[in-house]
Amino acid sequence: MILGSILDLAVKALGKVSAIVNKGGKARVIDDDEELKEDEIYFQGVAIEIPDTIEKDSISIDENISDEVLAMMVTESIQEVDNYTQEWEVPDDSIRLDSGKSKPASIRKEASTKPVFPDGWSVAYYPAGGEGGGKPNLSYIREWVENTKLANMSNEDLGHEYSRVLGTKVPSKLDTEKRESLVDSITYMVARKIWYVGRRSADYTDAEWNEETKHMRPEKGSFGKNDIWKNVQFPYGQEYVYTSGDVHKAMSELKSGGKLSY
Amino acid sequence: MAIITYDSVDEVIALIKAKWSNLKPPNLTKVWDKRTVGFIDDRRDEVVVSPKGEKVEYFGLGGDGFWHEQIIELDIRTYQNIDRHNDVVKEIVSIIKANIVNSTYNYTDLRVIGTFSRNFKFRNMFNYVVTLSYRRSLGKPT
Repeated sequence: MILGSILDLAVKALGKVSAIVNKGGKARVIDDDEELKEDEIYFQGVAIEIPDTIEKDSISIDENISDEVLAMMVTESIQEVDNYTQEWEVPDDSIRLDSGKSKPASIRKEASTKPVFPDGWSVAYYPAGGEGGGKPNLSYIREWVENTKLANMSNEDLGHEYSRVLGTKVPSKLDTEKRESLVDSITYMVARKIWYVGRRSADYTDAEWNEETKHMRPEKGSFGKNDIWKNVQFPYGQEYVYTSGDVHKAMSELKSGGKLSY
Repeated sequence: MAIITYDSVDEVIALIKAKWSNLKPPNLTKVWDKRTVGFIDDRRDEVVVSPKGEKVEYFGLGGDGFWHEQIIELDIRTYQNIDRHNDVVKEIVSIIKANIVNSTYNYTDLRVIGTFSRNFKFRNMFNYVVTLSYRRSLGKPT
């Protein structure tokens, strides 16, 4: 009887996780004796990842909603998967690889019949610059950050973005210096992620891209002189699970006034 | 009619406006208007209403009936103080709770299915998100 109900809970939890993950969200089945991570909440046998912009303890979810509705709520409202992905993933036009070699560093996956969505994600950029080995050109990405990613944000939203990226309180006023610092920091973090884990094209799912490229990831610290991981665990090793939009925000060098370069 | 996404947003806004008490009302903005206009007026309380996913199920023989469930997010932002914020959030949730069924509107039921707060890093702004389930049956599209 007890075994049956445990099994029932596990099967239901699997259904919930599957619904959330299929929509691009982050959740996992959690055992009774397992502890939640700091950024997770528990819901009916499932650990759901919560972004740091939300107060974990304030979350309340109806016990009786279906798996599909739970998945919508988690991915579209709590984790904001699509927004986050498009806000943090650079389109093809803004990626140029600095490489002295003549071979192209980006390779298009051939013979795909899948629709390309969203626009501008048709090229796959492999870790460590692919065959050519070039690093993403910072000036192109910076232009995208300034003219696209941040262009339509209100002052209030910019303040929140500054707080999220640099790990500070929301500033009362975002002066030119702070704005430049925000643009530089985002540029650096985005370029660094492309260097370490690449940027999948729309032909791949995150999981396919992870499988195909995880063995290609370059060594910790290889992005350049500012790429220092003091007191922070290096996130982009082989164990990293490729996730669109998940840009690691460790920025010790730029936070203390470092220059944007690699 | 084939989908309820945009109608449901209109109805939720109409319901909140119609049932609002004596408190000063917030601006109720559809998310696509916010995108068009760009900036939010940070001197006035704002509720941004966003349709999220819509789930459609068949019921009835011969595919002549469909059960729609629309998820709607109310992103409540107030700028004065926690008391005012508390009042606005409570008022909105009370209206939804009191009108779980209401024959004036087209929905079968309207429920709060989730809530969370984004308060802790914001200066001078209080932000609470309420997620609603708006359910309605539709006949065969004509």
